[in-house]
Amino acid sequence: MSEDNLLQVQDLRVTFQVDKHSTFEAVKGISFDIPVNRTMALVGESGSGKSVSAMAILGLLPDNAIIPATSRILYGGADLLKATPERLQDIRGKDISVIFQEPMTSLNPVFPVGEQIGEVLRLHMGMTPRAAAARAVELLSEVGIPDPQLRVRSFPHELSGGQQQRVMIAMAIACEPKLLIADEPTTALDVTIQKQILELIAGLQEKHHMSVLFITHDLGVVGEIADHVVVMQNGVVQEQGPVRAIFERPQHPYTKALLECRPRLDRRPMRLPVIEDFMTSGGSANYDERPRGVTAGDAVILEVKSLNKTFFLKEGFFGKRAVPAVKDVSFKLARGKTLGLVGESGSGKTTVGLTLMRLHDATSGEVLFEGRNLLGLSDKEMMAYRRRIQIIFQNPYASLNPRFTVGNILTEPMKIHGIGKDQKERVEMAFHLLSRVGLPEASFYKYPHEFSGGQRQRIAIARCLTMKPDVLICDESVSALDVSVQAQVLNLLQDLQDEYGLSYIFISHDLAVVKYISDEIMVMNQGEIVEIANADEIYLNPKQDYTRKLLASIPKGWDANRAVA
Amino acid sequence: MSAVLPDNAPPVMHQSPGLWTLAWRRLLNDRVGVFCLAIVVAYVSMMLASYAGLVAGDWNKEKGVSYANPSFLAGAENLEAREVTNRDFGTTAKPVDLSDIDPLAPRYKEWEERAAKIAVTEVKRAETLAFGGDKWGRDVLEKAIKGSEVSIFVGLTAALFATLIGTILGALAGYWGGRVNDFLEWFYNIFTSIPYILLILAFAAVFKRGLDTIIVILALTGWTGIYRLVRAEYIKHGGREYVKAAQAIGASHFSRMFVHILPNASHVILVQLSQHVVSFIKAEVILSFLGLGVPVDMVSWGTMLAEAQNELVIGKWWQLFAAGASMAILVTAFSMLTDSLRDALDPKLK
Amino acid sequence: MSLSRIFLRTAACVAAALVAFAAQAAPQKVLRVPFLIAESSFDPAFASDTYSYTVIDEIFEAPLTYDMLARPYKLRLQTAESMPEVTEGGRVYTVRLKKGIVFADDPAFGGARRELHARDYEYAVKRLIDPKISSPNAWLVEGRIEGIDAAAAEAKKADKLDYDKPIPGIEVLDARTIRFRLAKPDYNFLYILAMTTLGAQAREVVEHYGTDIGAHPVGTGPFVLKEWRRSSRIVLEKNPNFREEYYEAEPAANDPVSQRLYQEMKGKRIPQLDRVEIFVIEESQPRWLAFLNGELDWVNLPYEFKSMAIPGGEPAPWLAKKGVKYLPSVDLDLSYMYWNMKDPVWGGYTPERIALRRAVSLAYDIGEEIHLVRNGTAIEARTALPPGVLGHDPDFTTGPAYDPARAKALLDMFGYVDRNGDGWRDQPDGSPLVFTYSTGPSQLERLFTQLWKKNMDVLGVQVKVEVAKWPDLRKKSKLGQLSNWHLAWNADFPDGENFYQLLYGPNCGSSNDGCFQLEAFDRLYEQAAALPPGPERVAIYREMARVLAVYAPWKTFVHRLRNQLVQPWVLGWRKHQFIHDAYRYVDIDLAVRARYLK
Repeated sequence: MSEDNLLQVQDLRVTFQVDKHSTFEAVKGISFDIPVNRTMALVGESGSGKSVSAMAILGLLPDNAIIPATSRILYGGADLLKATPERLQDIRGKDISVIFQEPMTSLNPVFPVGEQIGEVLRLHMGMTPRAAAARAVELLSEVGIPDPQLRVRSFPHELSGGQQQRVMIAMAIACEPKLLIADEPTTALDVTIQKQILELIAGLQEKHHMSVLFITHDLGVVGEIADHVVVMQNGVVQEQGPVRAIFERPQHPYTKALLECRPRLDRRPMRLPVIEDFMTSGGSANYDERPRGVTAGDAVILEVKSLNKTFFLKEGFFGKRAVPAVKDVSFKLARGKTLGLVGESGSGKTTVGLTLMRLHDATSGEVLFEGRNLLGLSDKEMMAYRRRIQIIFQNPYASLNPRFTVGNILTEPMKIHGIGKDQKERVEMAFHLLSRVGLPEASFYKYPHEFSGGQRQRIAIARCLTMKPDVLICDESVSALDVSVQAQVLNLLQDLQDEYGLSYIFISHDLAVVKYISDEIMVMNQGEIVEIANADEIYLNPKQDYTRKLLASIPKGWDANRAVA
Repeated sequence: MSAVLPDNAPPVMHQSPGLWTLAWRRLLNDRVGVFCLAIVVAYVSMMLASYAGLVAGDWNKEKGVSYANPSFLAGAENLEAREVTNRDFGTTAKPVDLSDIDPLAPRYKEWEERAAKIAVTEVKRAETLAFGGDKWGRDVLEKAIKGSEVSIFVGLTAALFATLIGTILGALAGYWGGRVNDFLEWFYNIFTSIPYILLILAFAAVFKRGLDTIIVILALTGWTGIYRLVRAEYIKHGGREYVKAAQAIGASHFSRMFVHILPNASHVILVQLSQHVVSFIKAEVILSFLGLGVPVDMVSWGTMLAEAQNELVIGKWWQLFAAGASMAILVTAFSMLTDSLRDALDPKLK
Repeated sequence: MSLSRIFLRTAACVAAALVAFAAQAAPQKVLRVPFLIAESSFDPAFASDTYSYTVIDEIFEAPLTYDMLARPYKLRLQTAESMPEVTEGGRVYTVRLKKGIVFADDPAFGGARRELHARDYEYAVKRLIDPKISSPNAWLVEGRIEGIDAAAAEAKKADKLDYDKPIPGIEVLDARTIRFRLAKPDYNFLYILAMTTLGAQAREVVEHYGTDIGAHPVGTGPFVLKEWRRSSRIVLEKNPNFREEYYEAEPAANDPVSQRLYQEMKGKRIPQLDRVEIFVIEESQPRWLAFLNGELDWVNLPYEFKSMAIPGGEPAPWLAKKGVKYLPSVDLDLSYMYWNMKDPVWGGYTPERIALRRAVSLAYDIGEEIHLVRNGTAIEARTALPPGVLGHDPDFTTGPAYDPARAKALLDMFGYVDRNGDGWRDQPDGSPLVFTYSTGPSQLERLFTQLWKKNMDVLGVQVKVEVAKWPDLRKKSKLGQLSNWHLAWNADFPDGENFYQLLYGPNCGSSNDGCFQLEAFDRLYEQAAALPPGPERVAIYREMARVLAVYAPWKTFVHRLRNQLVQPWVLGWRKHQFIHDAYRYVDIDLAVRARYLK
């Protein structure tokens, strides 16, 4: 690593003035160097300060951010933190450019994409509009968008998520920057698209000889593309070094924990290791393998037959466009087992889950729960079954009513279903459940906004448990959580299944997680079931092409044989 | 290893500060907001005191001469009062004798005796009053205080009713959508397409005079703004996951609408409520000014302003000033309080 | 043509145009005056309100009129050649018309000159009983002219009047003579002959314009209607066909104002004015300000401004500096409240009811009304008849009009006490006693309402206020649905009969809204009508006043004072009760006007 450094961060500290009296220190003095023509990964969980650090480079922090004079970011011989706004303006987009996580909100919805790309060109390269338009077409084809002449006039909402991200990338590389900062660019994308975008970035990095600062929480991605890695936790750099060193010989317990907490495709321990295991006791989790699988003899608790759901959208004055979301889906759920439901966005997996709960009305089909067709029940009859089949949603920040205390959230279902003969008993049960999911009893009196994402998901789980359900649908329940928190929640779910004999339908797009937690896996694509088989089977012997394609897209992580600069 | 977060301290069972407590604290930090709140509270207590009869109880008594000057203008001329003092216009002629044709004649003597026994008190009228007198010689300051009772009461009650109507209709339209929404939108369009004043005049012509009529009129014409906002809030929240979660656990429609969503929209409703209090106070004043407002034996700022029209030309400005200033101060304070409330209730809760 | 020639010709044309323009723009005498309330129509049969009649008086002409300056009011000839011959003890009136009177030009005459004919007066009378018009002025002739009631009844049944069918009481003897035969002797008929309701109307004009006749008044008077923007502006212009007439009047020797006015107009040809512009300005403030600006030529001072304009009864110095003339007078009107004699609570002729009504009358503080509400612009009306009307007795009084002690005593005596402890008096049988006051929504009416409420509170009688618009209340009043209502009556002619007809029994249903029907009163009324005006008649009127004081079917309030302010350039004018604004007797001194307005 004897190359020149493009950018040097020295003792960066960022403190936010939250309100008149309190401050929050997001970054507590970090230093790292970004070498020329290399890919640098900045890894950490949410709250680690990685995005804040990256934004500090470009001066894109909010007004209430305070950076002391001792912090320096050196670029081109000058300190960016002390640069004038004009100088920063000059650098942004030309020397250093950014791509963000959410392309839909990063693009201006009222301008065609060609114009937005052109804006960068006109501003920094001084091109005429005509020249800028032509160059925009070139860029679009370089980032792999088909029919670039047509697409250059499209509006952002007319493009898919992956295409939008490609447009962002086109904007970012338009001026051939020296440094590309990518802030979680693939987190919001499907796994197959993610693969393509990662390849695109890698290709561009090589072609244009630019440095890439890749911010992510996904170590699998890091292993595939990074040359150097910086691991951050709580605003502090825990470890940094070349990728080989990090993956093969991690020094810091946190790094080790991160590497271990992710469910892996080749191993299925009884319990997933969590950060605490490493931070406190230096690691050693129970590495016994857990057997999974469904046999013919297992009792079936839920059977779905030919489930169909078509959405009707209004088109024009009188027209209706039919969008079939779920097409003729049939499967069985065995008691005490987990059925994993995998697919990309738009595959219909979430719709299946909601339809089972009758949160959507199915167009046709049957859902037999202990023999009774749930879809045919009246509302009153359905009430009795509501408590037996429950759902945990994806977004822990939205599924709890912000105006209810945790106590209200937990006791409400009990009141509705007449569980517990009086309020005192209900409160007791709530306390018990809170400790069961690993939260202090004092949480009863608090509001959701006082909890982190993982804790909220636990509250949601506790809410479901109040009704002692038989079936629990987990709709992308861990997708929005950090790796370590995800591990904790998965462990919790597993414990509950072991203890209470719950049956799960686990919906996710994350194949590794699904493989870990499921006995049986169902792959869906565009509303249809592609393949159903036991978890191990599917991974070892995928029968359908789509399944194979899906499996191939999973970031494999570090491969010792990868050529690293 | 368990997944419990390390927390070995005994549970501290205290209630977390809820939205309202946090908002209250934020409001208290806002100096302007506190000041305006103090003014509004002062007005409301004045209104309550007046209602209980503690102050301005005898506002109707004619304490002063006609158009008595305010005490700070004690020396000024009062031509009107001078004119009134000459009340002697009887004739010197003897009363005509009607006894030959009058059926009451047999009881004349009894009549005189009774009349003599009835005492008639002559009230001494003051030359000046604290803030001047009106045409009848009533104390303008007391009238202003009593008038606040009507104006504030009408404003508050009408705003409450309008908010109630607007919230319920908005909740129904936003939550159910579909036909219910279409019907309510059509209903709303009718109400907003008719000019506001015409609607008020139409209602006023149909209903009988009185305070409740004004409240009903204002409530029935003023619910539209709240309806719009509440409907938007319900459309927004209705799609949120916590509502789906409530549905999943089996909460009824009513519970979802009013137990789950309503608290999340309550900050909007509260701000609307206070805005409407302000506009209804103004509307009541306009109604009374046009003669459609409170009946004769009650006083409101609107009637004071109506009386002040003609008084201003002859230079008697204190009634206009008293009513106008009272109203202006309250309305301004309330409006600014509304702004502060909105800031305090800003739900950037995560 | 050479350039200089073109120039000369152009100059000549321009000069001629300028001269013509200047000649045409010879200074016109334009009078600008306000109306307080909008007019309704200019059809004499249809309209009955003062303001419409102010305009009608200038366009139509009755056989007789009044002397502009003589007080007491005196009749004078208008289209009649001589005073009508009264024969058969006041039953037959023969009227001879002047020669050479023509109508104003109108397309309905087909371009020809139309002379006045006696049958034009017959036509005017017949229009009053036409069921299609439903004239509110029918009472002027109903019951008076022989055969008119029968004709009216017949017309009503057939729902149309046959104008060609003669009426026995109206005889057209020749082109200039008309004879009226009355149903019974009536000495007041001369006054009727001075009312413009009987002004000559041309049948062809009425038939030509049909229902739009109210906008096309065509008469023999000194002015014609030039422009009419309803409820906003009326413009009259001199009638070019008006005959040659000169100013004549008989001012009273002891009245300096009349003497002065006479000197201003003596010997002038009338009408002097070229144009009259009338503006309807309902609000007093704009009216007053327009007068102060010189945009109006006279105004009846709105009482709000009385203290600043005429403090202590004399024009303030700033007003005197403008040269404004102040002409106070008492209007021949009465402001009163009638009780509905058929009302179950308030009506009736028994001692209790009489006592009830008289008590309420005594409880009303007329002094406060005059001084506080009306700002001193009225005098107390002790009887129904204002000064200037035959029968008015300045010495008639029943004692102080406001006596709350006597009022309370009266109610106590006759059992109107609080029986159920709610603080309000009740009827002797225990049912509630409620005084329903019907009024309108305006600010002024609110003041009166407050006064009533105040006084009734002291008396201990509960008040219910009903607010509605005037036309709705009038409808209810005519149907006898109000228990009481307040009205005002302007004298049509200077005789007590004009007021007492409002209380005459048989008039219940037309003008007697309260339906007061007392035999003693009706008998006196008929006796008076059969006598010529004189001391005997006055004695009977006094007796009628006593009866009214006893039975109290009315509470009389005030006669209004008029504080007329006139601009210094207006000559010859003071307010006349019967010939209204009398624009024909007004002149403008343009030099004075220019001086004040520069």
